[in-house]
Amino acid sequence: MQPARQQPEPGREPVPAAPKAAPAALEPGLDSPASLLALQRSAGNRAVSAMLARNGSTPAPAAGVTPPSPPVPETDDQLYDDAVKANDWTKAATHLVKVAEPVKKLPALTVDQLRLLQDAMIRGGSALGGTGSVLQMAIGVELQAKGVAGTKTAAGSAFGKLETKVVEKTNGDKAAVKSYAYKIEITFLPDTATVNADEIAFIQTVQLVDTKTGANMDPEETNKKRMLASGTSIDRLGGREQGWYGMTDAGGGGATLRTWTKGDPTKPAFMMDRPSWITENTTWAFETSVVCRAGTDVGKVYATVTWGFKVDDDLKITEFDRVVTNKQTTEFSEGVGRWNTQAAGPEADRNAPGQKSLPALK
Amino acid sequence: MSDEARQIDALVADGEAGVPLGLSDAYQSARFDADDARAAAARIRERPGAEALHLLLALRREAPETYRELPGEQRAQVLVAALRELPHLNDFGWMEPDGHGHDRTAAQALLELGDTARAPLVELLDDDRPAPLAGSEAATMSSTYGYRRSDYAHRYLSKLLRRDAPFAAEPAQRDAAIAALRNELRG
Repeated sequence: MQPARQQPEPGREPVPAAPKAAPAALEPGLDSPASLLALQRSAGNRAVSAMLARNGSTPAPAAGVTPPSPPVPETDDQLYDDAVKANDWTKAATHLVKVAEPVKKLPALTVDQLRLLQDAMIRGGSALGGTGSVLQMAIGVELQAKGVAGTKTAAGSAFGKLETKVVEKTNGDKAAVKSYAYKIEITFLPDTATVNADEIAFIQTVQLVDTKTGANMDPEETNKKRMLASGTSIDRLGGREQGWYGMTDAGGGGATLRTWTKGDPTKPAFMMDRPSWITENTTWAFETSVVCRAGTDVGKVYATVTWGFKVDDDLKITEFDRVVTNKQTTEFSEGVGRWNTQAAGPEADRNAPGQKSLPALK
Repeated sequence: MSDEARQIDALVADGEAGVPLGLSDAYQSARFDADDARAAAARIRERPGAEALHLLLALRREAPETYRELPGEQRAQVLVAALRELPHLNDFGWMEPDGHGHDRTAAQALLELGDTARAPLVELLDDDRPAPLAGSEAATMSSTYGYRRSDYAHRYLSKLLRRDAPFAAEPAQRDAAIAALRNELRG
């Protein structure tokens, strides 16, 4: 199973709080869980608590004493709203699929919020059931309703065209001391009408762990000094100053990278990776983000793809689905933060003495 | 079995298995008091092969005086054997065509030996076997440029001779530089 990634980047604009309904007057027959639930849905927990107190269902508090709030379970509807307000899109997706008419929730979201919800739905995958699949389609429809072109409603397509191609998948052979290898090429051609960039490149995280124990197996020693608890870190060759995947210290493309530049707008950004080793029972999980490196959009993530594979006892590769989303995961952003902390830290602990910071992602 | 013997065995076991230094608990946690260091040095003198790499480098880090007392030829023997025999050379470093490269712990230990390291490295100039790196970007670099053992020998010999260590993208181009250096050093 592909290791779970944390969910999308919060920090986007919050949804305006829904207007609070005025407490409803106590009505006859307000004595069943269903009717209470209905009231709770329409007026909220506080209103229900107050009404129960007035109705004698809860002992009236003594003067000056704040009564304890009775434990009224929140509905998925409310929990979804709370999650949206908190920019917790994983949670929002989890609750939205349980709401009675989830599609009705979509028009209240902005385009950016719909993209983040779309990412959460995609990452949630089968765990969100059939409703999740339906909602992915509904999000596409809602994006169009908000003026997004039909060709740009798919995840990762808002700012250009991201393509991935696996060009090699070689199993290893222990007896022959032959390494396994998996080679992927990733390209991104931006839509120059929607990006405001002078240069676009890639940032990548790697999580290389023992499949059975989860222990870190990354042979890059300097990665350990910026690694998250999950074993994820910015994927850079030890000795490199730049955090951009494949980039030379001078800021150019090396054997594995060609950046997109405004001066040559029809040539896509390109990167290639060919992870390889001979160690069995390992899981290799990558997240690659297309990011504006120079220009007004600097730090803006245009698209993200997760990919990887696992290797069994016999060095046979099983690849993971490649999953394209609009924005990076929280873990990816934390990985960038760790890179920048490393760059600002003691020279002996850096990836290279002149290690350069990455931009704040947006 | 004593603690010092267990530590030496663990370091040698990781050396035999080709565990990268960064993933070797034995290497990361190695500590030597005077007796441990003497025992480690004795083990290296007894069998200065590739499997002693982790032990040698742990000694270099933790007991530098004892390390320096080891004959330079034996230290070079261990390091060049590792360069010749390890399945992956991450602990030595990487090379790229713009002349940039990165020398990691094992390479640094080799280069600090100076002229003592020259003779075994000259022999390695004939070794055209692949010299892969493991991992993500490192492995990609090594396969893209087709690293060979002889490329590493050429880099280190050039540095020991205080020369530039050029690295051409095409192996055929590198062959000419390797052949020239081989002819020069073998007279």
